[in-house]
Amino acid sequence: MTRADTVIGAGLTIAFLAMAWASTGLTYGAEFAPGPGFAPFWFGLVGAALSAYVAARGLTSPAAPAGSRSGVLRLATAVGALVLAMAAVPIVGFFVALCAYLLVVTLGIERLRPVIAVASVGGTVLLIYVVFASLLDVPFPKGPLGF
Amino acid sequence: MEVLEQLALGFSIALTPQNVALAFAGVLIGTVIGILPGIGPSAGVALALPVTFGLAPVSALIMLAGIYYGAMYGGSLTSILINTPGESASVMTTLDGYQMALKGRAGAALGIAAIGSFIAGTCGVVALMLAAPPIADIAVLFGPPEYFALALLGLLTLSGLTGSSAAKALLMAVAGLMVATVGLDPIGGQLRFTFNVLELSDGIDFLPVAVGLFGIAEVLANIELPVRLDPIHAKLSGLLPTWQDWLACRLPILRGSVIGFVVGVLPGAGATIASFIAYGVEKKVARDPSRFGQGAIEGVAAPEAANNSATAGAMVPLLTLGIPGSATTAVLLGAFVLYGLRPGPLLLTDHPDVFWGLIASMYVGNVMLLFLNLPGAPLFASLLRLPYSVIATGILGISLAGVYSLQNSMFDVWVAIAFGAIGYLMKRFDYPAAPFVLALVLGPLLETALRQSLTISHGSLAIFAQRPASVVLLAIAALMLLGPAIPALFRRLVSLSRTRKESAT
Repeated sequence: MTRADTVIGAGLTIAFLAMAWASTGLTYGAEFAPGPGFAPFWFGLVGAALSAYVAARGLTSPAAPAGSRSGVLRLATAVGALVLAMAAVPIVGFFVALCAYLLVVTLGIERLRPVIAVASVGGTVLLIYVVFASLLDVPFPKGPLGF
Repeated sequence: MEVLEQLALGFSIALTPQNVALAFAGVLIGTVIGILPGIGPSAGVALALPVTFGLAPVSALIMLAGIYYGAMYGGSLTSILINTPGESASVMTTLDGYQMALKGRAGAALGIAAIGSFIAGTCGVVALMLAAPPIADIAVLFGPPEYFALALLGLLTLSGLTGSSAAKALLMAVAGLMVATVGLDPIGGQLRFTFNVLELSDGIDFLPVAVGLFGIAEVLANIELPVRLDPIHAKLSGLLPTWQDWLACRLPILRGSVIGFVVGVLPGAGATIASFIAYGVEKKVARDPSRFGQGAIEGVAAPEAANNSATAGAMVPLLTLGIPGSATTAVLLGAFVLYGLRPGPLLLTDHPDVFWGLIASMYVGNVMLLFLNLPGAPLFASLLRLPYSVIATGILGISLAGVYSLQNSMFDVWVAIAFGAIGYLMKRFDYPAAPFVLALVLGPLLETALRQSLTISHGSLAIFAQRPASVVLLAIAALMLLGPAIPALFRRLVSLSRTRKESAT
């Protein structure tokens, strides 16, 4: 346990209580037969109790070790680029977006040599194209380039 | 005799050219996954699942199971050569395996690991073949109360044994159960927590969640803290163990096989715990325990035998009861469901081709792994020279394409990305992912069984106490939940009574 668990536990307590509250809008039960609201209501309450316990334990625990600034920056770039790339899929197509994202990871984040980065991204995308698009006939979203 | 006839049916399925090729592909991919740090068998099976969509169910399951037990073979290579376990079940192999490599005996360590794995893997499949039918015969008599108790037992044992905090593991299991309630109510068909999002009406599929938590999250964690592998210095020669090595290892392999199978059968235990116990037992029975940790070959043979035998053991509750005992078998259960099959007692009678075909393929796969791993060790070792970024591009690309191909929907891709980010946070703050995935898969079964039981009993919980099997299963579940707390509670009571006595005198 670390002090971060207090924040996580408190957030989860609120989320579980909200779910339990939302489940009261569903039928709890009728004539001794539990309804669709029965399980989510109890899961919500048990989850809230466990989260509150974790939050309380976190209060007396040491602080979580901080991540390195460069590591957090790399991570934020990777997640941000992934979200942008997938948001661009309807416009540029799945394979172009995937290719661009993997190049950002290999060249921009991992700082691989350009030859190795292009070769590994090209190989990966080609393999995925052959297996999924050609062999399994998966209809990936296409862009102006036709793939 | 009936078992042999059924096994013959299984071999007639497993030995078709297509299934032999798929078993080979499965064990090869599994070995590679076991070797590469940063990707475990759960992620491997989840990533490979979309690739199998065009195949017959039995063929797909042969390949996916091959990845599962193949990963156990591969994990030993990195443990021995670079002191870094490829997956958690190979942690114990590092203790003596790496010491053997430092003493110039890497070849012997790899050889005994492969041979021990082969013997144990085969023994495990024999035990699975003999144990599964009688258990399935008993399980046919199970009703909703027993299924509820079984699902609860599976969740509680896995939660009790994973991660450093039982409270966090339980919390993740409840979170998984909560997410499993999204979509159509399994009994009445009412929509729950869909927030008018059409894609949520079928619920949150397990595959994008598993790919996100095990695949994408792993890559994100490694992007933040890059994996640095030490260069390999060990010389790979003399892969066949000497006669003395063999004499020293024959009993540890046998004991490891038995321990592995028994521990593997228990829901929630699995290969990692089996290897820990097997190593501990060998150290206890050794004439000179001080050799352990210094390069004792028994310290390689026993845990490797145990982790391979455990994979066959873990198949027993999955195939006969439909209850997965680990993260990887939870993903395998999801694969069964995606193919329209329901593992459990009826699998044997309704789909004997799948059941026996899978078992026969495990014999074939173990032979393949032996021949693949002994001469192939130097080749596999060269994989460790690949930069992690190259592996990461493969994992990310296959993850995204794989989840899209599930329903040809970008919604699943977004779910996988969201769970990738959540999975990263779970890893960062030590919240285990396995109970979450297991709860997501078992959630509908648990809820349906609970509601059916209460409907039968008109709302009375006494139904769970009226049926012997459910009483036994719930008692074990309670023990799993409270077991770790009992010694501390006992000590506290003793010290409290002492204090009272002292204050009275």
